[in-house]
Amino acid sequence: MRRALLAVAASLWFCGGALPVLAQNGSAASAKPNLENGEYVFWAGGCASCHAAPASSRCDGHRTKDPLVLVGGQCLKTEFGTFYVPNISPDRETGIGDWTLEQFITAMTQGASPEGENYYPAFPYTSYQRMTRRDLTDLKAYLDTLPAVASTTPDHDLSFPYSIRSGLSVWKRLYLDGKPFQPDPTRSPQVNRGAYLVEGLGHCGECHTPRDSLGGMIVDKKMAGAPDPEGKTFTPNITPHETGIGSWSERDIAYSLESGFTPSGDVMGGVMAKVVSNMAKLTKEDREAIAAYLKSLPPIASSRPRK
Amino acid sequence: MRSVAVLAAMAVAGGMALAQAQSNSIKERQALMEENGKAMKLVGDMLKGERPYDAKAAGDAMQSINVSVDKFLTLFPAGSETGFETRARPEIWKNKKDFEDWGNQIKQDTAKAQAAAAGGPASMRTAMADVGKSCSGCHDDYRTEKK
Repeated sequence: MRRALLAVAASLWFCGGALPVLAQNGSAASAKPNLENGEYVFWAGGCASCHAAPASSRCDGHRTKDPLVLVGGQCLKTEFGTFYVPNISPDRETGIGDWTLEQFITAMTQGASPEGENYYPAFPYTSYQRMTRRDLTDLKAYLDTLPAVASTTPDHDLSFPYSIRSGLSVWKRLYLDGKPFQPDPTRSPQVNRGAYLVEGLGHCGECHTPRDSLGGMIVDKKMAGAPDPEGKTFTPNITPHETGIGSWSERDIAYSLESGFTPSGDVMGGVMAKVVSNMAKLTKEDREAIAAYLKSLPPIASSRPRK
Repeated sequence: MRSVAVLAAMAVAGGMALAQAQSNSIKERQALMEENGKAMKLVGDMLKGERPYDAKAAGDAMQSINVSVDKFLTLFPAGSETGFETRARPEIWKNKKDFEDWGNQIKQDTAKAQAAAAGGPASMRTAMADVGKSCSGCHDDYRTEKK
């Protein structure tokens, strides 16, 4: 059995490249894109938080310039090295203006470029793979309407062995399941909508779920809080545990996403301030759905180191 | 000789008073922020429906923050950079002008929110979003993150 698994793993390594487009996401017949929904998905997905230009000369600052000009240039400093966020404006040379819809969907759900190169999971495709084809189609159409700006960003500056991009094909076998979001029929439509927003578009787990040594999310500790990628602070536990947001009501959660204020009147800062500016653009119903879903999660004790 | 001793004693006392003033500054600014948090909580509870919307109380809460900013900006004398678990970043003393600009931004946003309070919860919601942005903007730059 074990030998068989190894053989499978080895053959996967040699296969490389992108997974075949999955059936659910593969249906080519699609209605005319809905730009209004595309814009909504854009905010729910938080694209601008990373892809808008940094507001200051500090590439890792918390504020950005115009959220609709997606020239990239921010940097994410992590234990693996520094990632530079690329230009996804519709510029044909330096952005993604010449991508087809299928290439866009492949990038978002399989983490692979039109040239078949693997993306590093700093780009949260492990979450975006849950998105519906409808949302992906509308998002692409909306991105195409934004200003095209020619600008290149530096190559990622990573330490060995993470600098070897082909290693990512193995990583993807481990952590990318290729499954679009499936509603749970035993849950209410509201909780399912919240799950889609949290797990897919909102990609909350990318920061709030701790990762193992290979940088994959630890499923058993979903949303239980994690050291931030730069290792300086702790991204809070957002499960309904007492070490998380157990004392927050659904109304508290929805209001915090709208206003940025915690129930005690403090304000959420850092990256979360950018998230709030996106979440504030969603409907009240969607913020409530997110709250309902978070409250429905199993309470997990925070892995935050005690002082 | 005696006068030297007196002078020395005065200097020591003066130094202690100064140190006292500096530690008081830290405590005072922490207390002000505590109060501001309570004011934000009050309005937040109204907007969440945890308590009835009271335009007067909401406006007063915004005014109290607005007024506190003037005092707050005077509470960062040299020597009050550390101690009492202060979360003030050293940049405050380097970028005094920018720090004060944030103070003015908060004053503007809370003044607008104070005016918006009479318009009811919907107009208050909109105004609070701007207050939230300037709160978190200044905190991002000048308050260290919680450990």
